[in-house]
Amino acid sequence: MRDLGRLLLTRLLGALAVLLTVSVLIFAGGEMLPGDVAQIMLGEGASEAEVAQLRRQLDLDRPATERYLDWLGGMARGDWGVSYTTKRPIGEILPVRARNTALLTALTVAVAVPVALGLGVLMALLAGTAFDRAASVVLLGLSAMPEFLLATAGVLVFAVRLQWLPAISNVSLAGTLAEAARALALPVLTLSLIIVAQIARMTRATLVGLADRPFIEMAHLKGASRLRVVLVHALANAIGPLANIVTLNVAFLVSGVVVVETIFAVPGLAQLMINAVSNRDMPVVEACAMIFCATYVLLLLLADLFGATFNPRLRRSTP
Amino acid sequence: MNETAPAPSPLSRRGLIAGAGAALLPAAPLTAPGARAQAAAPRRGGVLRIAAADQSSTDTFDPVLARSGSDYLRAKAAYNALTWVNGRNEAVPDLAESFESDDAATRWVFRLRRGVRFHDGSPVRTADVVYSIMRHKTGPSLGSAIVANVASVAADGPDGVVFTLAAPDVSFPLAMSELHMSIVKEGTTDYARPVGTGPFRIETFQPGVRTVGVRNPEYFVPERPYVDGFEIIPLPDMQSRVNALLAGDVHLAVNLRGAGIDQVRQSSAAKLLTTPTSGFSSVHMRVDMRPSDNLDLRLALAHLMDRRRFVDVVLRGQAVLGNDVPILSTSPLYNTDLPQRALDHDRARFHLGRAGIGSAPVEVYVTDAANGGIDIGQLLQREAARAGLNVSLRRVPADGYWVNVSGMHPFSNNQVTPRPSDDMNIALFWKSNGAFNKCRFTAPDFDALADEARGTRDEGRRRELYFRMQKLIHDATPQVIPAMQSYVDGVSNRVMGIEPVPVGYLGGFNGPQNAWLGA
Repeated sequence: MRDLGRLLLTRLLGALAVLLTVSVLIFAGGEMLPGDVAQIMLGEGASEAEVAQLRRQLDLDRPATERYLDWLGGMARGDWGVSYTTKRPIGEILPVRARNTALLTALTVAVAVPVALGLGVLMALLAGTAFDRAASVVLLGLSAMPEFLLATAGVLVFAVRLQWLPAISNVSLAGTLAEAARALALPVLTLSLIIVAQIARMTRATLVGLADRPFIEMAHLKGASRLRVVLVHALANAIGPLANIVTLNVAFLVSGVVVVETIFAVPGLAQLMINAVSNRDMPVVEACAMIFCATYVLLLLLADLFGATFNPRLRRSTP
Repeated sequence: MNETAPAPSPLSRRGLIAGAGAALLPAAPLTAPGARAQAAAPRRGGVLRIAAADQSSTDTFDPVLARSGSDYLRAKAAYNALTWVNGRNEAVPDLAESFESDDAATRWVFRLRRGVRFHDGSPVRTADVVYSIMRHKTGPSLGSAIVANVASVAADGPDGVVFTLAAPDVSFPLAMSELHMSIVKEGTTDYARPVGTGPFRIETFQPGVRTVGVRNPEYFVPERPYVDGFEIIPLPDMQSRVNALLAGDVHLAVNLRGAGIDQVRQSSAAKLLTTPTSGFSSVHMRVDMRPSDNLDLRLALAHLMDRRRFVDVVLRGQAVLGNDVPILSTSPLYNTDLPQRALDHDRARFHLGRAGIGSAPVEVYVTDAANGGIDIGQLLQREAARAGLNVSLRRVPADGYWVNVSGMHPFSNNQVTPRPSDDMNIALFWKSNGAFNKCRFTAPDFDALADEARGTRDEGRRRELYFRMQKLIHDATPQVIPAMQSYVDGVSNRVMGIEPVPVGYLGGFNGPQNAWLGA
């Protein structure tokens, strides 16, 4: 356990360093973008004097380093800052977006991860059979398909033609749990197809890759059944890599699902960040970047801890 | 409506514009074109769901900062301005029950409707009007160009507001209908929870996520609104808007294009609402930069634009052919003496010969930020190649386009959204000091003609002045304007009562007030 504690401490310190570096990079990137928030808010017809006036009101006429340090000081006190454009505290803007993102992520993970792992194990068990080959072709096809295509096809079939499900997922309108589930069915289905394809293929590949290792051979020689070999001997050793694959996919769901958010009108964090970038609303951009960055860092840490728990060798080799 | 308040001395009856019928029902639709809408009496109830075309975390209820179409929809739902526009593009009373000017059209007096209350119960006072207008003069505002001509605003008695203008303006009441001119309570600085006088009280406002309003039971327009409330859901992807409309999840889907127009036209669940406007996308050409300062080169491009194909194929026929002047060809002010420009390779070659630019490529900046902008560039490129001109397209992202690219290069896409009055259009986009005159267009006497037209009531004289201005623009061709584009919305068959008003989509952004839901 001491090993795990040290691992946790060093990784958390590393995470802080990563967050700090990312925040500097994002801030510098924002400074380099053409046009600032005052110009964009007032549009092309604004006079220089008006733009300068708005810049003063927004406190943008101070040097960049000073503004960055102010922001950093705020973050250290747990203050997200205030959006330039809406003048609302970012702490007020985030919850509704974070809720949408969390809901979509949680439901997709709940649906996709068990299905994907089960499918991957099944394919590994039946490796080389017709089922394995057919499933591989389908999964490969799915993972190559862009999500807007899957989403639009789903909407055309289930919402426009059959009218079973709504075309947009405005959850706030749905009163009961059943209604909310119905509203979110299409986006969750779309995202699940993508995630399942990736995780199932990696699960199969990892398990099959272990098949000719000596300890698996040993298990076979002991007379263990094929099912037992895969589920007990191989899977335990595959958990580290699998945890990594799953967490990377979860992190993608948190930060990278802007297409699905847009098509189904479930405005989440990814869309908020894109909006903020095009409006040069840097405090909001920084807030989203910090959330995404922290999500990646923490999930990867979680995956490593998980892997280390199941594989004592990793604990020692980790600095 | 009779003028009840004592009129201050310099006003003349001739200046009275307010119509009796219109005064009672400020935003009443004109006669409905279809018999169906009139056959049934409007029904009450229901929540009107609108799929908006833009989504931004900068969505706002602050009239000074209203920027997107959904900001305008929001403003129209929560607030009133002094005036409003009817389907014939005339100013009609709204918060003001009447308005009139002196003979010179430099002093305008608006009389406030009595007994109107804000959503919080406080009465509307003249000080609120002065505050709302002065915000455009004192702070950064997207409406500052509209009030540039206003020298002062002052209360005049308990219900009068006097505007003194620097230069005469006969269409000033139309300027006051502009949504930036919405009336807010004196002293308001926080617009997260808007307090207006409009048909709806705003219940939920989450920028970029949703806006929900409920019926204002004390709204001063009798009967309106018919629906219990409205909800705006941002769906920036056009196909998603069409799908949501056809699946019955929303009642209104704004700003349809291309295949979306075809889908709704063929659908049995929804229909199109087409609003012809004087808005357009164009190629604008800096007359003070090389090589676009070359008149023959500009004229060659004007004759290489396949306007017919742009209207029929790209815009699905939802437009009127453009003739490189900013006036809609169906307007009484349109200069009918100007020959309609069309694709003409011979004339283009003639002008190219005179331009003498040889095989040097002409670079045109195109973008999705202008509706049809990239198509205009591609059509131009195709025909130019046939006439021996090398047009190269620089496709640039919509992000930041209007601030960083538009008007910074010899040739670039432009887009003009319709304004309530032609006078305003000319002042903003074509006068030498216009805030949006990015071509740097100037012509001898043009400014004088524009100023005179703005101060002229006589329709015959106005027409003459407009003819001359259009001739100057046409001769100089600072913009290739292939089409005057209509707003095209998708409307569920359940929705009745929305009639086109040429200042914006969904009945001049006023759909929620007038719509009612059939069975």
